[in-house]
Amino acid sequence: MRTTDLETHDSTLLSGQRRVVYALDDAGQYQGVHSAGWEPEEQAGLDEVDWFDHLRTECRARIAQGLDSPLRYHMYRLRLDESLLAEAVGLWSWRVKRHLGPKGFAALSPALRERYARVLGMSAQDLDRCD
Amino acid sequence: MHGYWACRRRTWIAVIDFQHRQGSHCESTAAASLLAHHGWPLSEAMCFGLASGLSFSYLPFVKIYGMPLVAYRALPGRIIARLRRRLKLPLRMQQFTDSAAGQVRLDALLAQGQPVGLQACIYWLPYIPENLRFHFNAHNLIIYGQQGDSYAVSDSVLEGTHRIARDDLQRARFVRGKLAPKGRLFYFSEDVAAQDIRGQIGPAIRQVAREMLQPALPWIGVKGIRFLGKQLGQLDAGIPTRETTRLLLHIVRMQEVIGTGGAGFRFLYAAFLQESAQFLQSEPLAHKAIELTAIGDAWRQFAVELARMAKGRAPLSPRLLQAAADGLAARETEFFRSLSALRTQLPGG
Repeated sequence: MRTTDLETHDSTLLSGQRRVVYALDDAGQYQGVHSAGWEPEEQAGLDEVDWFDHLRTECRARIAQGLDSPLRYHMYRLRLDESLLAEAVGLWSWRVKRHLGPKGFAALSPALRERYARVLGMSAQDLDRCD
Repeated sequence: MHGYWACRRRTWIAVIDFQHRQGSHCESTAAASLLAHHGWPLSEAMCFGLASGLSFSYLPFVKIYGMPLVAYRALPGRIIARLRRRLKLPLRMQQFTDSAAGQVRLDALLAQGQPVGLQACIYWLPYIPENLRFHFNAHNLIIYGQQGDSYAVSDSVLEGTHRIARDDLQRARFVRGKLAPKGRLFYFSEDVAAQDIRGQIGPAIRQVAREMLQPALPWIGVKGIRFLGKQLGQLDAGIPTRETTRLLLHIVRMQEVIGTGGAGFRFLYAAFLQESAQFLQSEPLAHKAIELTAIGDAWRQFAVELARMAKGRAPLSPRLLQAAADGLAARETEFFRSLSALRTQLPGG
């Protein structure tokens, strides 16, 4: 890559920040240069953000129908998945899976609610809310 | 302990005179800027290269966010560890089972005037742009000052320095899960004099070439690239499903988004080869840097194809993707073979 190959559009992904990439300058010397992003980079980075936004919206609809728990909503809001959440709280995934359903969530003990809330960086009361 | 109590007695702590640098990769830049602070200015590319940072792995059975692990470099943590060993650096590393102890240790080191490198989960760092915050536990940053409950951060991903609250930092340092940092910190126990690195370049190249060509496991190195190609070749042609789109863009993300300096660290490594060539006055090595740049450009083209197919701008063609990956594997095989042959003529090789 040459420094002249760098695109100059403003990146949504980086929120206006610039990052460092390495490229050859006119004299054929490598330089660390600022990059405002590149189209495939932008698409790939934003796709992962969209993926979680999509999961979150879908989950909210399911909660309204009583098919899902707010715990799952918060999991997606914090860009976690089942296995990451299980590792973070220190529970087996099958238990976490159960807690993510509406029935399992309703049956959570106060101690477990507290544990989830701590890992998610929120208070135990707020666990029921999803907005 | 002395430093800690000193810091409790005074309510303020001066910020250490520390030169923030931005780099493409957090681990090599953290090492480079700490090293520079302690008297030996080495470039990020040199640190990355001497640590034999370049690699490739495709581990479909290790899942991150349900996606297979694709990495273009050595395992997290390896770069600093290898650099320390290769250059015999007085770099101390510490992990903690108790988070309070981890905080006390950090404060004590800062009170002694030491900038401290930390491993942390990037999701929990509030100063990182929202779109880059995912649960990756092996991000590296440097703390170079403290004022009450607020710490001064030099994070090489960003152009400037930032501040972070104590609670946020504690959370990021003590998350649980894969690659859990366990409060890991690293610092130099003394200043370092610049050494003659000419004899270290050959062995560092040798390690990378060996990992790429004769890996201990078949998912690593050029075999890993072929394996990735084979899996891409088994996708269904036509319009990609949401899951396939995600997989294709995940590969691009690992290659271009997560601080690789472009083309999955290939350009960063080429910069190392070029700098080494200048150190060693080796024309053939300088030529290798240009060759690797061309391979890097081919990786970038691969990313363009993946993104186009994922976004539906081109029909998904598993055959084309596999051919592209095979092509890259073949080029890297040839490249590392000749690099390895060249290495034997370098000092220490």
